[in-house]
Amino acid sequence: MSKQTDNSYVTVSGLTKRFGDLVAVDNLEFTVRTGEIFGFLGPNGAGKSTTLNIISTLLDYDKGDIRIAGHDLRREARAIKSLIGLVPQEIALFPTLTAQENVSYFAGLYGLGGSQRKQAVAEALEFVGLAEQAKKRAGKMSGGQQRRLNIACGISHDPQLIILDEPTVGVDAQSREHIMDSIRTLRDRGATIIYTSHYMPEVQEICDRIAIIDHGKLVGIGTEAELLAVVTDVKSIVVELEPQAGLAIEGITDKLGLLPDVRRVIADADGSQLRIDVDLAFSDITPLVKVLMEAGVRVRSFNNEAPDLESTFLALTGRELRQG
Amino acid sequence: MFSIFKAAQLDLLRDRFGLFFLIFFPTILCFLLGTLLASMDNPDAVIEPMTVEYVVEGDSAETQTVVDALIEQFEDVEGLDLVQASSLDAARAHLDAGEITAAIAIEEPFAIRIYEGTDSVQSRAVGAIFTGVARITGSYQALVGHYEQLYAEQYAEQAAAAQAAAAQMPQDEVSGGEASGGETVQDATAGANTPAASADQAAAADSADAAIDVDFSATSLVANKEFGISRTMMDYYAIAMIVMIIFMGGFSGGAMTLYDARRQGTLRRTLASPQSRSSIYVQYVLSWVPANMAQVLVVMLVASLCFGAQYAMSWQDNLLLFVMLFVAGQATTSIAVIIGMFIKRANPSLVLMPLLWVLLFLSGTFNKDVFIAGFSQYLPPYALQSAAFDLTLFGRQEAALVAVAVSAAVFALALAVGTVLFNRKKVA
Repeated sequence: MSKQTDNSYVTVSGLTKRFGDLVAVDNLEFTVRTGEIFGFLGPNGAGKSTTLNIISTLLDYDKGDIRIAGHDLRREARAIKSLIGLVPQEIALFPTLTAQENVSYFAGLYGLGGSQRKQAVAEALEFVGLAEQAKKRAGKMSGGQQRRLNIACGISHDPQLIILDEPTVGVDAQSREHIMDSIRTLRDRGATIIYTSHYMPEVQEICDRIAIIDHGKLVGIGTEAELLAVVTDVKSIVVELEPQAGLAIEGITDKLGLLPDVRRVIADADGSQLRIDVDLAFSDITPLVKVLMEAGVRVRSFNNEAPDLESTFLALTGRELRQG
Repeated sequence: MFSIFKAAQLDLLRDRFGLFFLIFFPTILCFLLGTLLASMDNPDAVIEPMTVEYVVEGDSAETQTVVDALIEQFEDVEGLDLVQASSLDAARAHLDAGEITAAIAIEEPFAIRIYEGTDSVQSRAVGAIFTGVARITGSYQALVGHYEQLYAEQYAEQAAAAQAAAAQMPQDEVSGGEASGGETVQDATAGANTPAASADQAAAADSADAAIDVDFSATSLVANKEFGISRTMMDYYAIAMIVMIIFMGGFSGGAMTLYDARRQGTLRRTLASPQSRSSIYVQYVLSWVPANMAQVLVVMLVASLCFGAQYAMSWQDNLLLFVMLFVAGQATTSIAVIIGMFIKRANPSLVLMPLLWVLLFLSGTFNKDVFIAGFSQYLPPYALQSAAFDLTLFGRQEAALVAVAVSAAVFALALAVGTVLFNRKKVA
């Protein structure tokens, strides 16, 4: 019986978790609304995994109150477990078992049996596009297929709350796209999803709301637009470069990063573009041009751009999302 | 309910490494050592057939009785023919001509003089056989002498008691009474020469027999047990090998149970399911039941079918042997699972293996030809081997039943303790 009074599916209030002297989660508060994809972001060590482990009932906590679908986590953990589908960051599969057997194992843990289980397994594999690989052993699958199977194992029992921890790590573009579509479909079917990722574009693309935590504390929460509005003191300069052989782009970004008012410099993979985040008061680009000319870089264009979520994350946490 | 159990079996059957240690490693050990040990059972020299001529130097009825019994005992012995010679000279002539293996002269009182032939190995065999006969007969005679003396003393005591009782009776009762067969003790003991007294002596002898209760048959002096005479090295080695394997397999596999599940990530995910931690833990431990059965069966069957290893004489004892070894393996596994729970950063199997080798080394072992003294005979590997040999060689079940009971108790205790500890752990 649901005890909810509003559309919040997960409510976390005053959550605190200590490991000895280390406060991993510090008085954390947030809500996840029913039927939304909730992005949960934070640098490594921010307390993100600890929080997800607590919500998944895998870890006890010191203080606070967590309610999921109206159930109290401390007193009704078993009922909550039945509602949750966990898709961990690591591939959590039996490599010697087939795709079908892996999904069947996890479906069985949730009490599904007989024809109901068979149907659930078939549907889960179909959902992640592995129906034709049902008899293939997990250990023989590609990284992308394993990721998809990892998701199938977490959703076969039709959970109401799905926790997806970095579900696209190490997958090819095709599998990533498939996974993203699957997540949207799950949301459209009514599931509530908590999603973490180190790929900011994914988060921007798929999440309805985003929470950013650092040092165990919530530093920002809202839609993408709401979060971007929080940070008003940063802007970006995008520098388009001529293709040049033997250009030491890393040395250039390091020199640019040392200039006054420059917060961050990111070069794209092929070295054709530099993104320079600077303070809003930054107006004279002469020092930038000087560094680039001294390095022998041929510049095509300079453009001012509004800050993105990555810039916002940096501004809020002082660290990049992919930093250790 | 049985998801973990079922997945563990499928995983085991498809894991080449696991299968290697479960089936192929014991099988290879059986073949390697079976072949090696089979040659150790081959005799250094063939001593049969042997023909021994005997002469009896004495004509008393006792000597003839002993000789007849001796000949009868050797009638069924293959490879040894006892033939009576017309005289010692004739026998020695046959010996000198190399026609017989040895000649023996049976003298009074019972003694055997052996004349050896030219084949030293055969001569040693004949010497061993008849020295044994002489020793056993000597022991037998000593025992008979002992009981003869005992009877004589008891009879003398009873006669003295009867005479004393007769002396205390009124004279007229003794002289006036017509003694008739055993009517009363007093009557019967009135005089040794009366029929009543004879009956009383017989009763006294019966009483002594009943009190001493000695069976003078030859089999009571030499227990007809299998002391390894017809046993091969493989009979011993198969059991020693199973004991080694159940400890190795139990420790290694048990310790790796949670480590593997943790490494694969399946443990964390399993703990996130609505299954209780107790149920999860019990399933993990019980998932080793088929493997523990299999590793005992594999060695028992391969050693038996391929190398003719014999275990117990009856199927019931063989079943008990199997149960004992299986339950011991399961107990080992349940302890190892607990240990493995606490070893997270290193491979628990590699951590435990040196400790296991130390345990096996300290436990010692024994077989047909070898005895390696252990640190203590109460160490589990030695105690198990001892119980197994007690069962298979002598048909004694007591030690095996104790081993089953102790192993079952250890298993139950370890399962309970492990479940409590697993429930207390907060992180997978």
